[in-house]
Amino acid sequence: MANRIGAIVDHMNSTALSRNLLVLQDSGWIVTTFAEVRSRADFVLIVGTETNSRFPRFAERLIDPLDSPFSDGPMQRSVVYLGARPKAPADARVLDCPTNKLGEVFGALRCLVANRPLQAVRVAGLDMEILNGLADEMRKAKYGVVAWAAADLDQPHGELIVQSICGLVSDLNETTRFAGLPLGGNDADVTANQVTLWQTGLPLRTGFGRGVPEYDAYHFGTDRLLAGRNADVLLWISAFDPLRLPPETDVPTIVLGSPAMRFTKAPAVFIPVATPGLHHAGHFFRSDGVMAIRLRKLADSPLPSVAEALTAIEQAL
Amino acid sequence: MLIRLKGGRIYDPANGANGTVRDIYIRDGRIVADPGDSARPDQDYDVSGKVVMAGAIDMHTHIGGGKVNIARALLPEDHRADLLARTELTRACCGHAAPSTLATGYRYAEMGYTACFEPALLPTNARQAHMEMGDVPIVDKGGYALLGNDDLLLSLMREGADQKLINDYVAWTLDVTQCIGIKVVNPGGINAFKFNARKLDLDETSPRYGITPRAILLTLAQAIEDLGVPHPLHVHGCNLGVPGNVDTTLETISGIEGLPMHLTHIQFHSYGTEGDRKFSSGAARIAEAINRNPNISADVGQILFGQTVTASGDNMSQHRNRKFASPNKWVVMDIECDAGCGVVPFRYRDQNFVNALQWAIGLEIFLSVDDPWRIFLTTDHPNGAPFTTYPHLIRLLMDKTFRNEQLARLNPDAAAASTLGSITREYTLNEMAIMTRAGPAKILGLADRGHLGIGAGADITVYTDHEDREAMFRTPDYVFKDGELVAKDGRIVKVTLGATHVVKPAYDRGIEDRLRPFFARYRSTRLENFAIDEEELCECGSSRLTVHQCRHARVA
Ligand SMILES: [Zn+2]
Repeated sequence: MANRIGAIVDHMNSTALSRNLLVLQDSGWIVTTFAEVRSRADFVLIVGTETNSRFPRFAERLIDPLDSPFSDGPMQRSVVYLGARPKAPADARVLDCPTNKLGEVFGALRCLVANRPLQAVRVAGLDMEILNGLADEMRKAKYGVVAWAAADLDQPHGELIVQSICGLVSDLNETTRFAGLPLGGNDADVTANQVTLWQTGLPLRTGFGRGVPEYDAYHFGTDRLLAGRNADVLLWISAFDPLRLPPETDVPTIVLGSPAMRFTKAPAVFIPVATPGLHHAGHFFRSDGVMAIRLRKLADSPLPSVAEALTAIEQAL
Repeated sequence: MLIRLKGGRIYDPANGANGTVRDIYIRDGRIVADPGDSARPDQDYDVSGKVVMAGAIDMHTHIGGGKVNIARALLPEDHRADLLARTELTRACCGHAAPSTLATGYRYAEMGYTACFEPALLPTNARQAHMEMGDVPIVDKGGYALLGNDDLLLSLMREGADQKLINDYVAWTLDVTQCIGIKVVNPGGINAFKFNARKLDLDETSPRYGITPRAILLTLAQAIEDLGVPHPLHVHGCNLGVPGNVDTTLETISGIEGLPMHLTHIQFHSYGTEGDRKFSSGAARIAEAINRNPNISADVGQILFGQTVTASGDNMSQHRNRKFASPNKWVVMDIECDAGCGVVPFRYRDQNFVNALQWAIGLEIFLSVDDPWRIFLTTDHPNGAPFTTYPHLIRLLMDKTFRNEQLARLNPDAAAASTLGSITREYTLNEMAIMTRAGPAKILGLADRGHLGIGAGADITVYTDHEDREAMFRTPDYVFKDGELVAKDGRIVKVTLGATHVVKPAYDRGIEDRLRPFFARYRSTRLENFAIDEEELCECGSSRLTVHQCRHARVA
């Protein structure tokens, strides 16, 4: 439908997702997937301390199990959290530092891993001794992982933190194996990006206004389009989560959403839709962007799927 | 509805037609016999003097799946330079090195291709690959499932599992991933890279498993043979791109002990170490080995100059190649105790000695292999060049004068190091029809594709016999897919859905009991959620599942 009417396609989580995407487009990265982390990682650095609340099963599924097809007994795995202590798990090993200083920490680690002299005594409140120890541990890891959730890096140019993480990972691979693990996938953000990419060749924040696909990570962000009143209408889709309401705007808003949605300001049009994986089949990409999960129909619903609703709207145009 | 193509010159090598003038009749998507004078065609196309071939088949082209989408994500600037505007029939999308799925389907069909085979479908990523292929319109699709670096197979081999059990695992993989063949990429090497090995030679034992690439190749090739799968084991060998790898490739050929084997993008595996720059052509030795060993087939993986992107399962080699990334960005990924991938953008330059010699080596191989049924026209899209360069490549093969003009423009040292200038062979139209139609259909076991006999699917391409073969093959007059006109004069006139081609060899379902615990413990998906069925394929955009015969019938 966007192709037909010349709309811009974006996702409610794009601001976080684009922190990763910009790094991919600028320098690339070395990354891994869940099963590799679970079975192979002997060192895991978790950036930000909200990972466990954002992804409740992350530790339980990937970090806690210590049996491995590659080791005859339980494997050894060091787990370090880097971020603001109050939000970390109670018994975790935490390197306490403010989120807005993470870029400095990774810059310092890159120096240390490369054996370059660094004139600092402390970086982001962490003693050099601690950082030296961490760099040493990373170099000695056989298969190290750095995990981050782009949503936690909510600050101006948060993508630069992602880039310094990926630069560090890349450097470590000169001598050992190391990989990044970007965490995301909520509200089908990874799914939406994957499909937009393969169908158009460009990621989210691609518009069709001029008859060809045009990608603009900055101008085509939903918040910016609404704030500048550069959009005539907002079509907001949230089939999974009734709590994800459209942003407040004077721009006329159409919502395709869960019937459980409760609005403070009623949209111009509200079309209740069925839930994928409950009322109809579909697909959902997991956070690592590799495994597409089959969503199955479990119950009937009188409501249309988002696809059915959009097709009907398009046919009526 | 009855359609007649009247008076064309038919190039149908599978049925012995080499420019024979005759009419072709189409009914219900199939080629039918002349229905006699009483039957009036509903549509009549006068194609007298034109060249008529079956729709072309690309047997090795990276059109969908995880690494292709990574390549798309990596290169927005490459896409911006090649935008396809929305039309009444087609959607707005982007092309060039890693084109969108839609652009892929439109442009293959416009060039007269009617089937494409994605050669590196990771079992864990099969669902994504099929979703993407479902969104490649018009052409038929199929995939080769990747094995040989998965911890499951290597564990089975280390435990000394018997061949029967491995055969069941291979057949199960084909079944649940909906594939038509098995591919192995850098056997054991992708796995070894996860243990920090940076190379793995044919007879080197892998870390942890202690298995050699040679053993992996033999085990998988034997499985393909035992299961009666038509397509030979599809092999991307050890030491891709490394000078001197011609010896590895020759040993790989002898090491397979007469079993059928297809060597893919063999150009990248045909390098010697002679000369001042320690980089030379091994094409003559490779071609001689192919000529001498009827069990061996190969596609070339020709490089052509310009910007492209290399996307491979071989992350060990791609990590090594990161130093050549242009633009300077690249992705390497380890995947799910199953495989890996590496994506490195690349710009082949005609004044660069190595690139120019790679170009010459590919052409030397094409022109030195005697049997066109065992050599296939590929650029390993997009690794050697985007598939849209095929018409140019065809001209290089069919036109010696043009070829030598191009050779004269290259890095002169590379031109001097190549025998290409002295090769006089020009491919004929009949040989081109073998290499791009009849041959691929035969080696994949597609009984009703790649030919124009009675009962064949009506995938047909009609060309004007132009002296400039590039112009001829770029813009066919008519392209029919399953009897429907989909492209005319190089423009899409109808957008249809293609089928998915698979094989279903017989196997013992008990294998699932053996695999289930590994999935439950170490994979992040349960075995029950792994399999893809026909309903799901069709939901993703496939028109139907077409099951091809194995040499042994399937046991229910
Ligand atoms: Zn390939």
